[in-house]
Amino acid sequence: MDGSSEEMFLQNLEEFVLDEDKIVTYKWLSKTLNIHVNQSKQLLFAFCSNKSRQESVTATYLLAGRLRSTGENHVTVIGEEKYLEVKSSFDSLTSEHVYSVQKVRKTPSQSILYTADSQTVDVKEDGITRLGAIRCKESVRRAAEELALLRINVPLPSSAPAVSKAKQPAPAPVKEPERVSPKKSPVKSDKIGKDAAGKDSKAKGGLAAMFAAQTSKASGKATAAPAKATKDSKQKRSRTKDKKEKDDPKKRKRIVVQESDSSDDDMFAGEEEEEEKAPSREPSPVPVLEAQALESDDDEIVPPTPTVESNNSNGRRRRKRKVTKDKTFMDDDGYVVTEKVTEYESYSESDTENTEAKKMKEPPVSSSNSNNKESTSSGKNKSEKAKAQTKKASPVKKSPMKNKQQSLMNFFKKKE
Amino acid sequence: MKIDAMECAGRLLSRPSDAPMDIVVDRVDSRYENHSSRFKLVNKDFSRQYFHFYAQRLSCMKQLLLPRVNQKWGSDIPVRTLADLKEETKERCIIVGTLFKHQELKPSILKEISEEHQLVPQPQRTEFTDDEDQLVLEDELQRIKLLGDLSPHDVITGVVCAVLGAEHEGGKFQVEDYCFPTPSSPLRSLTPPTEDRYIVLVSGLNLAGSADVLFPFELLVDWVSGWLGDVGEQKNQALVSRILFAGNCIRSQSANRGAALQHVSEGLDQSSTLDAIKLFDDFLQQLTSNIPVDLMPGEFDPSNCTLPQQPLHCCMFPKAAAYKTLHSVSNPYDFEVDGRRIIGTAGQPVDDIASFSRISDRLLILQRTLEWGHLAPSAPDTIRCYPFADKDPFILEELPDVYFAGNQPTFQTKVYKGDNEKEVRLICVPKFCSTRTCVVVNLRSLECHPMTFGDPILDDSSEVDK
Repeated sequence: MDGSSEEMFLQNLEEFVLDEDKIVTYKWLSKTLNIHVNQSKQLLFAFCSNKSRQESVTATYLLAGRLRSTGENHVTVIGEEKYLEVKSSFDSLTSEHVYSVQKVRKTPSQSILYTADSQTVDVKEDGITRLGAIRCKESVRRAAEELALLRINVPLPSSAPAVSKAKQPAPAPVKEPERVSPKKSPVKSDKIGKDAAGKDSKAKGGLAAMFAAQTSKASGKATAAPAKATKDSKQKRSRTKDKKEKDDPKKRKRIVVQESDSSDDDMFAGEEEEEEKAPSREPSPVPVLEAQALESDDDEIVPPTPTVESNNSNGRRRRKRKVTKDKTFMDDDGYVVTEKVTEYESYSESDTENTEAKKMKEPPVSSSNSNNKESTSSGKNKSEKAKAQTKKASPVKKSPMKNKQQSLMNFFKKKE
Repeated sequence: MKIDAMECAGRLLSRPSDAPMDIVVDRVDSRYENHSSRFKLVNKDFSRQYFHFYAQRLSCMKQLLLPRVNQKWGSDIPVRTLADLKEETKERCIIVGTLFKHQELKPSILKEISEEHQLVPQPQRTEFTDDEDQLVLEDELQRIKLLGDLSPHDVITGVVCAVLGAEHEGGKFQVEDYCFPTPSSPLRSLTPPTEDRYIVLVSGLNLAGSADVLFPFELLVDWVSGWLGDVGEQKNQALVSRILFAGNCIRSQSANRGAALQHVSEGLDQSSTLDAIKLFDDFLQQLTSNIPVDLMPGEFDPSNCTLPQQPLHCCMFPKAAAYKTLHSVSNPYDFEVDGRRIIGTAGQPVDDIASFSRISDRLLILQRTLEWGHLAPSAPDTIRCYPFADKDPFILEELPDVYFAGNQPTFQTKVYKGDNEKEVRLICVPKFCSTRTCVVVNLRSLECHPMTFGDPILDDSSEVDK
């Protein structure tokens, strides 16, 4: 490193420490300025050994070596005020360098140092290896196919929502597809202008309440909306050929499951765009799983997805609804894999009389849905699609189940 | 060993323009082979009982034991089965069988149920030994009570053993001497490295437990991956060919440890576990981008609770698993690196023997399991274990070079000398969460030393802060 760039980096460092009041560790500095770790340690030393700054900053030092008392090898980080005392307790030193520099007079505790470190700028992953002093030839990234084999069904986000809360940018909370929906439902129902008020409160009541409120068409559509958003942003992302996405066929499958169709593409277009732009739009893997688990719980009672209607010529409406089912099987390695499988099953309107009564007031949903569906799911997952189609083609199969339910309803009627 | 490093200490206390220090060293290549396939469960069938498992253990270990018996007592003394014993003759003979220790205090589900009706809460115990404990030897068909030399407190249920003696009055067997199926040195000799190579062993991070462990662990990760320290230190670290996490990385104690012993299923605190896994994934990512990592599940990790524990699924560590260097492995783990055979567990067998026998020294327990020729003799009696039918994968047939147990209270090590002067390095890997200590093993010389991070010294200074 030549003198001029050193001066420049030192100026940077001064800004970080004095103006921004940061605790600058060698690791953070190395990642921020994209310099070798040892250079960053030297920079910190140059910075804090400058006479003019000695009054305003303190440093912590890293000491490694053998302890005089126990003879054990030890690595520690120590503040300036105890530096000499601790250094003398070492028999021999293998390492000694500046660990961090900060403005505060008091030496930060370990946990503060850790937090300071974990607030790292996101370096490209190859950067992490480049800046360190050891390179490992064996550390190669797995190929996409290999990852698929390992069944890694979550993307590899460069900015993890996980770690410490500090790392997470505050204004952009992670949005789960399901959780977005309650916010949206009022907007939606306003636009439709029908039975808004009554259902709104229900819809806001949370996920389970929302599904329970399927009696209302409005809320039913609201359910569709977020899933739709996911789908759209999904498509967009795949268009941009994001590499992560390509690595990850499994993930797509998950999304397809949630996908549903509705006729109001345009209404939400704007909102979806906005959502898309939010930086951490990508739902973290776990919330999605949770959301789905919740969804599947509800399967038994009410289908989570909206119904697809078609008016038959005989006036009696036959419907198909999309049901998400858990399919569990054991893979080659002996792991139990649970997959979400979307299936269509038909049912007649008499199944849900309550629902029917309300829905009749609303204009029937256009039958273009089915076409729409075909196009949206194309290129997602062929096997899923194929399954869906076969189910569609043979609705008769489901009739025994339908009859069963009917008789159950009759039973209740007589009782009344 | 680290003379080189000592010379370099303090060189980074210089201006960057004075001396360029931006070195990049290549990490050593290593030959690695995983021999743990026998611990992998392919078809999980829990419908079987444990009879087959014990039968397999006895028949397999009998084969290993007979040559040792001949060696020790000569071939004149007949080897009998219990059915052949005749009380009248009082013939001096050898019997091979599995030891069973009758323990009054051993937790039993039947006892718990029967005592439940009296509504007397049972005191929770961590020690289950009693002066009344008795030893019984079981062969293929029968069992007999043992008297004499063999103390019940020094052994554990499930150990296969040959006893020399004669039948005593009252259907008891007077033991003169005994012999365990201690494994012999390997037939296939490996070629250890000629230069210094190291592996680092860590266990019991307990990331879900306390946040105090984070900073020391970060130092460890930075140290191993060559961020921390002076140039000499970094060059030394490049000689570390692997890092092995010997279990309990996510959590190292159950929320309710007593309940686990009472065979009651425990509810897991899901959210803290998930956070800890994500956290661990980030640490692992830094490591896997820099060094081969072996990851064993431990007793309280989110894996199956029966031994052998199956590898943690790569899906749990999406970032770290992107590198080929993440090896999620089983517990117990048997592998070979740079010509050294290394076997170890995450510590459950050792912990279990500590509570069911009166051998208190963990290192001695570890040595005993080696002498008994079995990684986990008390499975399936007091350790939950998969009911194998056709094999007992825990039998040690050959002496390894390094034999370790994770999650022990303190660091302990010694060299065990087997037959043919074969040296085995025994290591109790301490819990990192309480000791802040990892273990560095030199594969060339089999020397090993602990390495501590963070510090009590720094804790003092944080008190000054207040």
